[in-house]
Amino acid sequence: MAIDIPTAMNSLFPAGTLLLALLMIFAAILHINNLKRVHKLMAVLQHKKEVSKAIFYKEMTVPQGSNFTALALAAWIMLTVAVAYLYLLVPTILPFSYMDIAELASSTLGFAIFGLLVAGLAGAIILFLDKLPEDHRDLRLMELYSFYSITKTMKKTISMTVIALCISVLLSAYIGTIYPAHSQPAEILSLMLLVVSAGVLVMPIYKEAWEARR
Amino acid sequence: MRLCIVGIGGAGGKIAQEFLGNEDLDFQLLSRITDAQYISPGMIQGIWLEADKNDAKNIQHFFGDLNEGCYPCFYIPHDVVADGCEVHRIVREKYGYDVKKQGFVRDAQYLKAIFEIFDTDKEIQAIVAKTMNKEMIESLGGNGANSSKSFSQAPNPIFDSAWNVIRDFTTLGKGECDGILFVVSFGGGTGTGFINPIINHIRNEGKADYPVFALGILTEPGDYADKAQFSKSARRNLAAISAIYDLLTKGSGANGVIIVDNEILLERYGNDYVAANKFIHKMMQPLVAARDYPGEIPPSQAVAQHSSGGLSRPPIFVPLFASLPRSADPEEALIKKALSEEGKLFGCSPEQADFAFVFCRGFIDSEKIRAVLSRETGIAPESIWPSRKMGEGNNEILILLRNPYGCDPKAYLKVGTLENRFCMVISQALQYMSQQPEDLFYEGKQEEKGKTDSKPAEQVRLTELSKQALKMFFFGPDGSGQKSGFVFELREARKRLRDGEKPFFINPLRIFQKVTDVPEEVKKSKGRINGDEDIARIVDQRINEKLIELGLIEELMMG
Repeated sequence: MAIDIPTAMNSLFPAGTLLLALLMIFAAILHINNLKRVHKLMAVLQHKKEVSKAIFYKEMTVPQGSNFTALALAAWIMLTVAVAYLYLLVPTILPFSYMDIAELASSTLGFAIFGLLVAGLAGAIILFLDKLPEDHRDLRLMELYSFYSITKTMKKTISMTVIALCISVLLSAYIGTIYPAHSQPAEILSLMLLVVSAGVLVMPIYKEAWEARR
Repeated sequence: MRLCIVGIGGAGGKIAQEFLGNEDLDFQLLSRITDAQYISPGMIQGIWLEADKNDAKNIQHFFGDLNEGCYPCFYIPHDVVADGCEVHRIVREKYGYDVKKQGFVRDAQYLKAIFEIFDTDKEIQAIVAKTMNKEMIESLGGNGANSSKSFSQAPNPIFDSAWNVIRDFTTLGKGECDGILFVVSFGGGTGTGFINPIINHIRNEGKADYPVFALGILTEPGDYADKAQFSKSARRNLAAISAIYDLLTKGSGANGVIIVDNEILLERYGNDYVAANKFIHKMMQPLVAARDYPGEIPPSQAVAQHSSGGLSRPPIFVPLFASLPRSADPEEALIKKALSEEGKLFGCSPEQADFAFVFCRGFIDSEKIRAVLSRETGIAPESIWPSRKMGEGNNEILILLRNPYGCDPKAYLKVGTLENRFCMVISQALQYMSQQPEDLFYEGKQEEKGKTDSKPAEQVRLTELSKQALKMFFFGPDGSGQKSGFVFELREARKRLRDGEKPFFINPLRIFQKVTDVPEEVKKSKGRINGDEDIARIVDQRINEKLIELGLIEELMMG
C-alpha cells in the first residue's frame, strides 16, 4: 500500500500534539503516584499506620543546586511559551489566537509582549504552586526535581532544553510572521522540539516509575 | 549523619574527590546570579590534607587552595611552619626531623615522631607558643579565637592548623558536619603518617566524644603499586601496619577503623585505581547519602557510641557491599550477596563479628535484615543495627562487621580471613625491619616521592637523641626486640592472630616519652613507692597535670 505523504504529514501534527498532551498528563499522574507509592511504602516498612507527609517530603527531597533549579525553571517557562506560540499565535489550530487581539497583533513588539505575558503567567502559577503548604510539596514545580535522583548528565540535558525550546519559539514566530501563508515543516519541527523537550523535562519521573515497577 | 570527609595524602585526596563532587551545574556566570552553593551528595563537606605542594597546586585541578578561598580545597599543614623559622630550625637541630618534609618519607613513624616531639618537648613548646601563634593565624586567614582554642593542649603548629581548617566544617566550628571520616591509604606517606597524630590531636583537645572514623585502604601486596606509591611492598606494609597499630591501640582514638583491602579492589578493577576509587565512593553511599527514612536519621554521635561501645580500643570494621536491581523482598538476596566473596572488601569471618551496622538504600525491611543477617552469621539480632535510606536505582546494602575475626586458631592459614591478611602484612613488615634496619633510621638508600631529577635526595639525618628514641621504639630498651618494642609487639600480635585471640594489637607505643615531674616525696624515697598513700599521691599528681594540660584548672590552684 502506497503511503500518502501529504496525508501522513497532515496527521503528524495532531499525533504529535496528542503525544505531547499524553506525555504531560501521564507525567503528572506518575509523579503523584511515585510519591504516593513511596509514602505508603515508608509506612509499611516502618511498621507505622501513617508517616507524616511533611516529614516524608522533608526527608525525600534533596537539593539539586541553584544553577540547575534556575535553568529547569527557565525551561518550564520556555515550554509554556513555546506551547503558547505554537498553538495560540495563529488561528490554524485552535479557533482563538493571538491574531484575534488586533492591537497586540499589529504592534511591532506584539510577539515579544505575548511571549512575556505567557512567561509571566507561567511564572505566577509556579510561584503560586511554590506557596502550597508543606504536605503538598509534591505539587510544587520548583521542587519537582528534588524528589528524584538526577545525574549530572541528565541535569545538563534538562538545561539544554532551554535552547531547543528557544528554537521552537523562533520557528513558531516564523509561522506567525508568514501567516496566512503556511509552513508545515516549520510546524512539525517546532512541535518535535517541543515534544522532545517536554520528554526530557519529565524524564526523571518516567525513569523512577520504570524502576519502581520492579 | 552528616560527615566531613577529610582525605589525607594522595590516595585520600583522590577518594575524597569522589565524595565531594558538585551536584549542581558548574556555570560560573549563572552561579554569580543565583548565588549558587557548592552541593555534594548527602550535603557532605570536606577537605584534602596534603604534603606535596606541587601535586596539590599543579598536578590536580579538583581542589583549590584553601588560602585563596576555594572550595573544595586542599590544605598543606606544614606550610604553617615557615622555611628556616626558629621552630623548623630547632626541631631539625635537636632531632634531625625536617617538619617541612613530612609525607615525603614513606613511613608512619616520621610524622608520629614529629607529633610526639611537639607533644613532649617543653623547649619546643615554648618556642612554638612564642613564635608561631601569629604566623599560624595569618597563614590560615582565620580568626584568633579558633587558633587559641587549640592551645589547651601542647601547641603543635602543624596539627593545630590542620584541625583549625577541619573544625570549620564541623558542628564544633561553624559547620554542620556532626562527624569526621578520615580517608587514607595505609601504606603511603602522608596519610599513613598523618592519620594518628591528627586524631590524637582532636582527642587531646578535649573532643573525646566527637565522632571520628577512619576509612583506610590497605596497600596491596606485590610490587605493582611501587610505581604509583614510590615505595616497595615491604616498606609499604611496615608503614601500613604501623599506622593501623597506632589506630587500634589508642583507647581514645577513632570510633572505628573501616578497612578495605586494595588487593580485592584491584583484582576486581584490573589495577584501575580510578575505578577502585569510584567503587569506594559507591560502596559508602548507604552510609553518607541523603534521603534517610522519615524519623530514622542516625546522628553520628549514636553511630559512634554503637561503634565503639563496650570496647576499650577502637574496633576494626570490615565492609561488605551488595547492590541489586530493585525487587520485591530484596533483603535475603542482598545479605547473601554481601556475605559472599563478591561482597567482602576485606578478608573476614562474619560469624565472629560481635556487632554489625547495616546501612541500606532502597525499600528494605529492617526486621527482615536483622533476621536474615542473624540467621546467616549468628550475630545476635540486638547486635545488628540497621539504618535505611530511600534509594535511587538499585537496592544497596553496606554491612560494617565489627571485629569479624578470632576464635579460630587455624583461621590464619585460610586465605580470605582477616587473620591471614594481617599475618601476611605483619610478616612482611617484620622481615623488612630485620633485613633493612638502617632504613628505620633513614640511613639506607632514601626513596623520595616524585623524584625524577638526577639530584640526590636530601636525606633525613637523625640526631643521636632521635636514633636512640627510635631504637627504643622499635627494639625496646635492650635493643633486641625480644622483650618489648614495636618488633616485639608485632610478633606478639601475629601470635595472637595465629591463636585466634582478639584484639591482636594491645599496647600503645610512643617514640618520645612524656617526661613528667616526679613529686618531691617520691624523689625523697629514691623512686620507691611506699604503700597506698604514695600511689594515691602520684595518681593525684597525674590527674592534676592532665587537668592543667586540658586547661580545666590553673597551675596556681595546685600550689
